[in-house]
Amino acid sequence: MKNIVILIKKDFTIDKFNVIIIILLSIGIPLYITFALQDLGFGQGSDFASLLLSSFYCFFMVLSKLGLIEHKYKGAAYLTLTPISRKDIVVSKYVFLLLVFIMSILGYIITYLLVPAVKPLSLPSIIIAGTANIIFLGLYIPLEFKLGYENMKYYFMVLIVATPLLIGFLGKYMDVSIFQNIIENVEKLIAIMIVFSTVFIAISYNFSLKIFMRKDL
Amino acid sequence: MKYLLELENVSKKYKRFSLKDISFSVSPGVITGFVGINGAGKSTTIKIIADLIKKDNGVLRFFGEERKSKYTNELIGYVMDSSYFYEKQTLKSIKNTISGTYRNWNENDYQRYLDLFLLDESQKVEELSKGMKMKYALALALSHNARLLIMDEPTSGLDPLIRSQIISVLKEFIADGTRSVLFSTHITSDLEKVAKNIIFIHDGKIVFNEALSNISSLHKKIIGTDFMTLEDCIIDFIEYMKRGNGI
Repeated sequence: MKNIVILIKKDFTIDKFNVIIIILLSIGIPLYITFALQDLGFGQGSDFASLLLSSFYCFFMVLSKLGLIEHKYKGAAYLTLTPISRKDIVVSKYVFLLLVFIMSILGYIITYLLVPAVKPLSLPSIIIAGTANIIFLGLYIPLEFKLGYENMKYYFMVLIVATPLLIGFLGKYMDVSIFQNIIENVEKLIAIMIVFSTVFIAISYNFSLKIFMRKDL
Repeated sequence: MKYLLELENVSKKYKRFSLKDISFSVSPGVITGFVGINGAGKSTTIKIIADLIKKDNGVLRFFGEERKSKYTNELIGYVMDSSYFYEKQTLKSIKNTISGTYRNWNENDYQRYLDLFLLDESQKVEELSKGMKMKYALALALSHNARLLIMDEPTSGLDPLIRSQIISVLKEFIADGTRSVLFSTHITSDLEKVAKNIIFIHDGKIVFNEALSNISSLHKKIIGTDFMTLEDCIIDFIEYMKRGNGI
């Protein structure tokens, strides 16, 4: 446990801009989304959209920065020469990203408390945004352990290019009432999402551990 | 416990290179030199010992036991051939991270080595020369009461003064007879000053594992002449093997 705390502290402090970026994004994006959606005449769902985007961009920025530093200096290799185990490194990665998500939520809440136009953050919004992030990170983390930072740059690129294309495709060919149903019945789906997220992240963690335990550093 | 480190038939296969059945041991109270030309397998062997690279086969024992827990690393200090430190961090901040992981971190030893090596904790790693980075790595490796020090090419590219300082520290480290150093290098002149045993690796195989004092007679027996330096001796053996002979 002590080693995991040391590793998480290291990830937050290794680049002093990490925490600043998380704070700026988790406050700035909800502000931007609130006013942008208001201008477009939408109010509903702004809390969900804000949290999803702010947490996604926090992950994107932090993972890119940490990945680059790790790729350059091979710090994980040095850390495994100390009593820090490979398992500690894998666990700390998941816990660190959970903390980034919590910071995004806190950033939103602070913005809500300071700016009256910002809508309160609902529990379903947190759970849906959390589930979306778990799917993204649950795939990303094992792949990063397997392929390394250099190859994973393309993961983000593909994701950024594919998302609008996918949304366009879904809008064109899928029955929009499915999404309408999900939004209307979201509270009934929360339990399913929590179970799904827990199972998904557990599977992801086991894959990451197997990959990293066998990896030559 | 007879040995601090034992390797038994350790092997690792790559497409164009393989380590073949590496076996040797390191006794307490000695500095063991691990020599060979570039690409002979020194770094691969050291990285297998450090668990940075996974071996295909064979057995590794530390302090008489196969490594089963992370606490084995409490007793081993590593100094690797390149700096793994985050360049933007200060020495103090790196020390704060590293020291927290050891149960037996000795702050007095750490400060003593910083003073000896003229290192300033407020400096960032990027401000250090290669020699200073190596000395800093050595200070960290020697400050948690390690019993075995494993070094991969620590003196490569360093000036004679820094190399001499490092050699003195190693002599002091093993002085009480309970601790050991495994020292991989191709600068054999450093080993002639401190090593008791020499392990010579070539083309992924251990050619010999001998006391430094016996190498002269081994050379005379195989090559038929005396040698001036250990480096000349190693070159003679390599030339001898290139002609298809075994040692």
